[in-house]
Amino acid sequence: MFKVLALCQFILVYPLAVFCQEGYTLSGKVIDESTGETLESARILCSFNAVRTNSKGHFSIAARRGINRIRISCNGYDTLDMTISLSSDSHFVFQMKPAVNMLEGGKIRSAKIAKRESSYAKISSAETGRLEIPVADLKKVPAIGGEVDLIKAIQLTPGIKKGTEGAIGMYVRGGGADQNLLLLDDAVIYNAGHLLGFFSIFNSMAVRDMTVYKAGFPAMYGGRLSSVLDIRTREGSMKTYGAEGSVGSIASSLTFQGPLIKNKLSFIVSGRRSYIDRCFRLIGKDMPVFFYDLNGKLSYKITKSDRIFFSTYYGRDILDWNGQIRLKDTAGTWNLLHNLHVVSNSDLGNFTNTLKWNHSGKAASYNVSIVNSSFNYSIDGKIAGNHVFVKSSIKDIGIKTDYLIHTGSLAKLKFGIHSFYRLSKPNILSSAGTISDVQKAQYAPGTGNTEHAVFVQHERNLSRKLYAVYGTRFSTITVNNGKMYSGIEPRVSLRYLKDSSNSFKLSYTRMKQYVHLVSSSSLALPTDLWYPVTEKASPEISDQVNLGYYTDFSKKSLYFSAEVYYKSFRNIIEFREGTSLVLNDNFEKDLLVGKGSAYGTEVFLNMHAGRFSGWAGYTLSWSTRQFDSINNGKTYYSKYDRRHDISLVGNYKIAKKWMISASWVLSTGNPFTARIGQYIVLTPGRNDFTTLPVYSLRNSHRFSAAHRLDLDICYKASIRKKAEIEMHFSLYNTYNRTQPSRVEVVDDGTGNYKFRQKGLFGLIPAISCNFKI
Amino acid sequence: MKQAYYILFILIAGLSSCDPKPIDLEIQMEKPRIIISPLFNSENEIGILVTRSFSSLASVQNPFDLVYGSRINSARVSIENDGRAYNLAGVSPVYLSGDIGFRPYSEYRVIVIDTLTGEKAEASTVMLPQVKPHAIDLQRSDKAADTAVTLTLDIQDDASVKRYYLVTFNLNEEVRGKSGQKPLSGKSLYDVIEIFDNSAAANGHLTYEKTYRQNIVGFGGNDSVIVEVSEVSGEYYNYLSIYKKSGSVINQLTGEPINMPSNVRGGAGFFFLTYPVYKEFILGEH
Repeated sequence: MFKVLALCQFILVYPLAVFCQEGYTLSGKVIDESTGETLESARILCSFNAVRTNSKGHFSIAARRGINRIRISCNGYDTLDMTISLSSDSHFVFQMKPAVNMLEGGKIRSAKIAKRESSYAKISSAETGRLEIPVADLKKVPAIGGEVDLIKAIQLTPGIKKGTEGAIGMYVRGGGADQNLLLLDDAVIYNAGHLLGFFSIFNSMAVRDMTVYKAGFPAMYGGRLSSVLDIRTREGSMKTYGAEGSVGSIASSLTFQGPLIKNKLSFIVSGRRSYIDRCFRLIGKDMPVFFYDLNGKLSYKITKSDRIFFSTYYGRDILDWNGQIRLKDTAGTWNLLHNLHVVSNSDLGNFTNTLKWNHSGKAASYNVSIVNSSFNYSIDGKIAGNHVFVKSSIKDIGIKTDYLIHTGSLAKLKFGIHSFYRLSKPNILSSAGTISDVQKAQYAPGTGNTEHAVFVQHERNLSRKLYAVYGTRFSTITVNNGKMYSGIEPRVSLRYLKDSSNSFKLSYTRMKQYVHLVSSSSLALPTDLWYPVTEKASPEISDQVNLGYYTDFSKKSLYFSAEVYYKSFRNIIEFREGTSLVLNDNFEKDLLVGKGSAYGTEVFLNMHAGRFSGWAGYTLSWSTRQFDSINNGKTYYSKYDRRHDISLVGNYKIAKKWMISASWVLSTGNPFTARIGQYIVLTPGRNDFTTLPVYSLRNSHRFSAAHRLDLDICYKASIRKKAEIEMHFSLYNTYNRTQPSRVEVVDDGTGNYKFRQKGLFGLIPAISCNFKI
Repeated sequence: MKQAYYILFILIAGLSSCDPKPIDLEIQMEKPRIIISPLFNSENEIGILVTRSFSSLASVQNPFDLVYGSRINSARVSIENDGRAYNLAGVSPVYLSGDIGFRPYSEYRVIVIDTLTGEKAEASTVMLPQVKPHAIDLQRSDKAADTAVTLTLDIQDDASVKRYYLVTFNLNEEVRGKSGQKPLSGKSLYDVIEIFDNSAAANGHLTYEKTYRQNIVGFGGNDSVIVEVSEVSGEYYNYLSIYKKSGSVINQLTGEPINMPSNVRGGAGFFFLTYPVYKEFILGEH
């Protein structure tokens, strides 16, 4: 086995490494001292250079001959300072000590330093549109029903807008909900929603870190137009066993981790189950749906440099409604009671598997992953001897390889191949009983596509202050009748470092998307279907230019960024007005192809001062669409175009055991198409009248602005220094303000009618408890 | 134990969302427009409903009140064909003529002028010929839980050009009403608007078959269904397609609003001329 690994390494990596090396390189790995877990995104400062560790905790940085001062910092860990003498390229393993109570007493200083250096890393890197907020910080954001949801937390950052109130839909820089690439340990997630999209499938207990890209996409990412959300799950400790869990109003979770073979093989398993159905039953109401999910990961250390990981996710939403509905009898009265039973057959949810081999060498590192992902939904309905069964699924299996070679002082070469086979089977329907006379069974044969991509990206200093990242991705897909789409997706990012506190960055990226989401709702409904490109619907394409300014105000515990962007969309799809997307086995005939654009500016201020930490974000943006057959061909605002979006998030440590968190959001109302009149016509073929509505131009009206304050008070305690407990008391929508999402016509009390806006949720108090042993 | 009750209370309270106060919204209504909608026509007769559009906040409890409330008392309505103009007489909102003599494949233009404001709306359409059926049949079949009817059509169509057809149903409950029986529950057949094109036509025949289930629960005796078949223009077919979609519950819940198309310049509504063929079926005898 080792010979094979070594041979692979030699053939694939060594020749390039030999040709590309120059000067001294300090490389190494950063790990957690207590668990042995590798640490991603740790900052390494060496003289004037700064880098960050990759997903496997590995880094490489240019160093001087002789004495080098090194500083390594990572959120949640004490900063490590040391001097290292180099006379050749060297490789070290750095162990970081966790700052257990980071905000207590003397540890505040190291937290400050960590944040300050985090700012420097952001300023000095060439990446634009990248958002990396530690999961620990996101967990402090007040959550609806106390159920921590990482996607809802990142909706509070600039450029990422939510859809329906309380839902997990993400609309990034004018893009649609289907234009986000969601990766869980490299596996694509096709539907990230539980309970009709009000909760995400990402269990915060199982997530180690998440990175969002809104622009300046690295060449290794592709397949979606607007964003990449790359989520990595935690690894189990190689040294000690541990357990943690949470009990909340909506769901509870439990996590176990530890070594199976000490310092060799570790495991982590995390499960979650909602019990909103049970709680509703207590108050005499029916909520026939719940969800559960399970994350698991095995990490095996083959050698010092080689590791194998296997991670899996399995989640299901269970719908089981058994009730009675009333139909008319022969006399025309509603007296006929029929039993209606609707179940999801435990076949509604995601299942992903990732097997990954990681090699982190002195001069090069690479990953080889085999990933498999699937999303199914099936609904089984029975009424009065009739039976209708609907099933859809999308599955993929593929291989990803990526290589990273350090080619010299701050220079890196990254390249790789991704190859996938995707099979989608939408709307398979069978019926039994007399209903089969009307609703015929339909079986849409699966559509299989093979998608390939190769990418290469090089990073290097052009001068002392100018740093460049440039590369390209070439992707291809085969569709029906052997037709093939392919294209080049260039990526360029430039950074000009004015001084150690100020930088300017410019990036250009092209993205291509080979699958479309067939959805008519802003919720992540399980009935949403993914369809590959067809002969009629070409791949969607976006081009984005991003210009930004970044500063930490001379290290005053602040980080500030301001970015302006322009993004154009081509070949985006919509459906002809009135298309029914339910039980439709031929969407292609109703597809419309159009274009769009999005532009705006985003301002972000992150602050860590004493007991306070938090951020403020502001977005000013425009997003438009144009289709020849919609809105008389005129350009219109997209569904989630919002002119202004402000979010303020803060955490304050009141006392040793008490902390308060708050978030306040204000956003321009969503656009909508208003009913601006009505008229009467004769009903076709009949002698009575029908009232028809008159609608405004598409999305030409807006709801009122929405604002909301959420609060969370946290009490922390430890039991005999062996267990930690956190109690959270949270209030969602504290001042009970309507978040407008629909308009209704009501009597104004004088016999006349008026329009009124309603939302989904008012004030929701909640209590939850987290524990760790 | 007391603490357990407190926790349970908070948990339940947490699940009971308070209902926030709704926010009023002002929406500017469009300026009322002239609406043209044909009521009926045959070889010689036509009736046209002429009204104005009105605020979407108006009550729609009684459509007949709205019809009279939105009438244009000062309207002058005429139809032009081959250089001749026919003035339609009548009392607002319905304007009638019985002597135009509609000819197939001839173009007719309706003109409505509000003599008070000077506003003008007009629309043109082509009169299509009456459908020539080989057969129209409606079969009733009773099953354990419901009653179904199957429509079978065989229409003359040489497929030389693209043609579109409309089928509607009218329930004749005259006999039932007179005998004091309850009205039929199976009104949903009454709501059916069936449209199709002649893409399946072959050898001079266009056949079409469809089953409607649970539509005529309780049908019997002398109750009858009148099947009405007519050829319609491509424009009107498109209008009917969108009309049907706009009524779909799924689309109303999840889709974008649909504005009905119109061929009326200076107004709204849809002007069309059809010459249907009718056939009545007494299903109780089948």
